[in-house]
Amino acid sequence: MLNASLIEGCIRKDRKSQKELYKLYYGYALRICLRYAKNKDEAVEVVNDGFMKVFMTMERYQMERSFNSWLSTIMVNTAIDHYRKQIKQLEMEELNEQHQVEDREHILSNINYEDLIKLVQKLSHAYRTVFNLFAIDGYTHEEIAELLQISVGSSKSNLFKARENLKKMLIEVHNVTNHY
Amino acid sequence: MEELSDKDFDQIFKNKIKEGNLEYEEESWLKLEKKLRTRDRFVFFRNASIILLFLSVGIGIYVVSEKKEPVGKIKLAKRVEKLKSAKTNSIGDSIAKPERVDLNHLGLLKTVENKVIVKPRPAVDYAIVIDSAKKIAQYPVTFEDSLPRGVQKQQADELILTSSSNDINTPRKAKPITLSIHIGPDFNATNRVIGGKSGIALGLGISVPLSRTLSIQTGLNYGVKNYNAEGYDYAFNNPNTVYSIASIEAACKVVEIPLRIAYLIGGNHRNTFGVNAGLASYIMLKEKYRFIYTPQSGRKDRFLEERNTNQHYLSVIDLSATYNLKLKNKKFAVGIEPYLKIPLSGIGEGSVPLKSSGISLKLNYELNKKK
Repeated sequence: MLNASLIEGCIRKDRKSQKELYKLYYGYALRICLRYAKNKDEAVEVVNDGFMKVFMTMERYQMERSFNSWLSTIMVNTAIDHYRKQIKQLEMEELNEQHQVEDREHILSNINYEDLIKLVQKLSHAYRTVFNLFAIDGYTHEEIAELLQISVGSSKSNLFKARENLKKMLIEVHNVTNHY
Repeated sequence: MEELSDKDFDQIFKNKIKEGNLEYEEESWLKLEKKLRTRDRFVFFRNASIILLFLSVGIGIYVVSEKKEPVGKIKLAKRVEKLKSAKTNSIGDSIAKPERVDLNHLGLLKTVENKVIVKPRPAVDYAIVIDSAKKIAQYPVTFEDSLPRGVQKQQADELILTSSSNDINTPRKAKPITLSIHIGPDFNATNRVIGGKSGIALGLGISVPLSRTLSIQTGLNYGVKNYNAEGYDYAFNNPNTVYSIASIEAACKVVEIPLRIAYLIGGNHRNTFGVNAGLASYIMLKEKYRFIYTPQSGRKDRFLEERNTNQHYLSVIDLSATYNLKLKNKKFAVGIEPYLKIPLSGIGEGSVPLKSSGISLKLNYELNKKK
């Protein structure tokens, strides 16, 4: 349980307190970073980089604020830092062709968390980051453009293509599942 | 069947993706703990380096000001007291004369088991030695009598001769503490010692003399080390990756803290030439790598960026030679310094055998030297 003494311990750089905080919030942080990383190893790396920032800046945390929200912001920013360079250098992929219309709600409702994460991780860095920021973490296109140093148009285009790719992959998963 | 709107699609995705319940993993904590330990070490060495640098400057300034400071009244009074205790009654009054006090204040005499020891003094005092020696010649009896018992006239004569003939002709100058700034091209490669891809290095340094020919040097250098490496130079987590790597391009921003001994080989009042050797610490601020894969692998280039991840303490052999030319204003000197840096351990994220070479252009400033 997060309490004042645990936070004070982390501010003092007490290793036991740091471990306790890490234990408490590892799962929460990993769930965020798994969406931004291309695999589990990279996600753990981002989680650890994020916790490094948490431990270095713990004194800035204000108790009255939600710790989850503070941690979430740090993790998302760390994930963006991690991939900012790659995102800038990756060329934007061409628009995919039109896909057949399917009942995606049905497919989504049957897919489990692990498979869904795998689908997100299959997206390119640029698509994955924009989709996560917009669809899941609630950033606007203007904020995303500023964060990733891209244009608002690129952000919208990447989001569109990310959704299209996800929908395509969902159908593929659905077809394979039905086939077997 | 209807297709979901983008908003609904995002919402369902959002709900679904937050369902995951992930457990704590000890292995991940161990990785973080390693990072924390590295960070702690980095902070410790950074702070220690800063403190050492300030201490060196502080000690330097103290030493300089101490050398310039005249002998204090208290010190003088003590020496007068010593002299008084050694003198005979017949010359008691003459001891108080200024030249007698000067002689003892110079520290020329030290009595250890009835032996007279000649104690070298800085150049600034020798004019007074000559003066005192002349005056002693005028009062030979007084001088002899002022010596402790058992010291013969011959010894006293020897003392005067030693002081006047040897030290006066070759005044010794205290070597000054030197501050320097330098800049120059820095060449880096993994497969050869000299040359490679160019970068830039600049920095500040301080040289504290240990003797007339030896000094200890440290400082803070900043450099951009660009280099090309082969897959075999780089330590990958997955050893098989090496087979699909065509080459690696790297650009690293590094803070370097050298710690070395400088030996002055020779020179004159205008030129000096010396060699330096020591160990340097590399603190990698930012490392950027571009992994270029072989066409057969069909993979796109991969980019990696690391910040403040790797530190190598006293892990690089630092060898150089220095030629300095004094400027008209004797406090300043310009110099060139060709150097080689060879790592004892792998450098950076990929533990590459990164060798550096280059030439620094230096501007030196001597802290405690008059124009």
